[in-house]
Amino acid sequence: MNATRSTLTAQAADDRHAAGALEEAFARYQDELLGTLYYLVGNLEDARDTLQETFLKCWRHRDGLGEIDNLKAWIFRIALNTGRDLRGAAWRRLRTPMTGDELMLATNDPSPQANLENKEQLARVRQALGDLRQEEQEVFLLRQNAQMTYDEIAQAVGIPLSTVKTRMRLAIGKLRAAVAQP
Amino acid sequence: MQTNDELQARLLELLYDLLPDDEAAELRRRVDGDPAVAAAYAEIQRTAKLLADAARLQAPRITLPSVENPETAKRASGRDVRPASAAARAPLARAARWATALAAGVLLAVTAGGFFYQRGQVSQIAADHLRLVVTGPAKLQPRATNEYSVSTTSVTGAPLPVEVQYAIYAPDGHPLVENKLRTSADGRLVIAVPADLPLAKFARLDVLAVNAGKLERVQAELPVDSVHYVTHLALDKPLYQPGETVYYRSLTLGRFGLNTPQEMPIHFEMHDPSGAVVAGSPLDGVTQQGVGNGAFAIPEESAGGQFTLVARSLDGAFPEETKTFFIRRYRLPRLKKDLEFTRDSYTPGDKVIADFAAKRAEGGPAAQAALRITASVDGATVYQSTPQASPAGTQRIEFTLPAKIETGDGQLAVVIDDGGTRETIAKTIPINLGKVDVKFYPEGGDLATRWASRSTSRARSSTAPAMKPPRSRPATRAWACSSSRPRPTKRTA
Repeated sequence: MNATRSTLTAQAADDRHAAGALEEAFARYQDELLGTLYYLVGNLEDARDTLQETFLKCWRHRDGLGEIDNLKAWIFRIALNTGRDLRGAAWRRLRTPMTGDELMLATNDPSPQANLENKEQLARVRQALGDLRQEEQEVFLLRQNAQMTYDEIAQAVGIPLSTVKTRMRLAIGKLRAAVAQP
Repeated sequence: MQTNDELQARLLELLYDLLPDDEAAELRRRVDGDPAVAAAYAEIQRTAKLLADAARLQAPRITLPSVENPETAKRASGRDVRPASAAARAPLARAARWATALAAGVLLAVTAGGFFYQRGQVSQIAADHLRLVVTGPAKLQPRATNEYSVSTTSVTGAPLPVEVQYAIYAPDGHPLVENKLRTSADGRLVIAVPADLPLAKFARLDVLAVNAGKLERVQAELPVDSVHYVTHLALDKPLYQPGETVYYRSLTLGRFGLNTPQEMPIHFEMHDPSGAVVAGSPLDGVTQQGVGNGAFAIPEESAGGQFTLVARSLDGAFPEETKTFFIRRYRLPRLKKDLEFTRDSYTPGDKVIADFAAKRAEGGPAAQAALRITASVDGATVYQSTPQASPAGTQRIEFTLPAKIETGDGQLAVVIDDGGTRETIAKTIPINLGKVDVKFYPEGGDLATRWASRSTSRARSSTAPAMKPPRSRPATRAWACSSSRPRPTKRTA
């Protein structure tokens, strides 16, 4: 009886520990996760939904957290796959894309995010980031936001290491050009 | 020598661990030892910070499903997450759960209170605040109507029809346009900047929206696109020989309205097939009534190939325009050849008669020239002979067409060999299969009853490219028609 109780207590403790680790990770990396998903799915609402879905997927697999070396990379990998699923859904293809032909000139929107986006240079880089090819975008976001190594990215995306580096070079080259624009 | 751009690219790759170890070590040494490289490195670090900021999204905190909520957790995991059975509960654990439940209740009450308070605050802000957004082209196009869309909504996104005042100001503050309108029921309004507005280098757009006595304003400085014109280039020929002169002309017109500038500085130059500027070809001038022109004598020793004429505005008024042409040594025809059929058209089984004549370019007939004559119909050879031209350089060609012809695609070709000069002349045999396509073209599109109407008809052989009507019966006429009695009035062919 005592042995059973101690086993259950240990399981409960593990469960609480896993839950706590997940919650902490999602709280810590929320900006990076949301940013990654925003560029992957194209709009904030879908990005928020995808983030919640990512959390639920991670929660379902919390039992295996002890075997995971890099929790952040694991979460971003699940986020990437969830974002890809949403992006590939047929109904989303009919929706308005994130970037349009017209440029928002000005707004009196008081939110910090909008004020931030109105900063010309940041807006330009965000536009360039949104305009990157999908494969370049994924590699850049996994490196930039998830701080994953190129080997981890190669494994997560399923492409050779050299291709990962080539895509990263192309991505940062385009983004640097956007920063350098007068 | 590495340019600054290349250096910055390498430094950014260094920051993103993309360089091989030895190259990265070398670059780090340069950063440590060279102040210029160190400054570039500091600059690229700022760029990297900007990229990091752009990749993140600082949105309001998102409430993730609470893992402490058993219902949610159950939905998430598909199983009950209670760690122990009821039988195993210890009194201490029970007390802990009661304490947790109490804390959760207090937390829920505080959260609910906060939620309703926040909602009240947001509702108040939504009632007071107006969100004004102006979208449109980032640059004003001169001589074109530029449209800007105004959207007025509450902070929650609900459209608000409000009064909007807008103005376009010149750089000196002088108002070019001022107007006051109201956004529609869906909170939208389109501001049109007229095409005839005298725009300088930039203009200032000022939009003011009024809602419940409160003002919201959006201002934007709009640069005016300096590219006002387009240029078209034309050459006197598409193909030149070395030693000939290329004559070219440009026409510059306004992009909108096709107006011509009085005078405009323009630069011409020619590029050889490698892209290098041809020596002596650059020419600067001023257009008159939009027209510029020039000439360039191609040197005798010039290599052939595809050349490009480039016209460039010296003040950026029009985008660069190019026109390609070829320089190639080619042989001029040495014989003047003539091949004429004796009839305008032939039907299957007819005897075809054609007269051939050839004269040398330097004068005199191509006497006794060797000829090779070939006639083909529908891809099959129907006649072939190899006579010699007469002393006058002429030859009568006679052959009979097949009795049955499918499509009527016939050709007569004569190859002339005059003392080493070999040239060819070929002509289509005008075969008429008796199928005539006739069309009528009433003036104005339709015939009108009780009104005299003119109509033109056209007859074409169904297969031959052009058909002339039999001489005795004109095939094309114009008719004046009353409602019932047409009468011919004018012969048009």
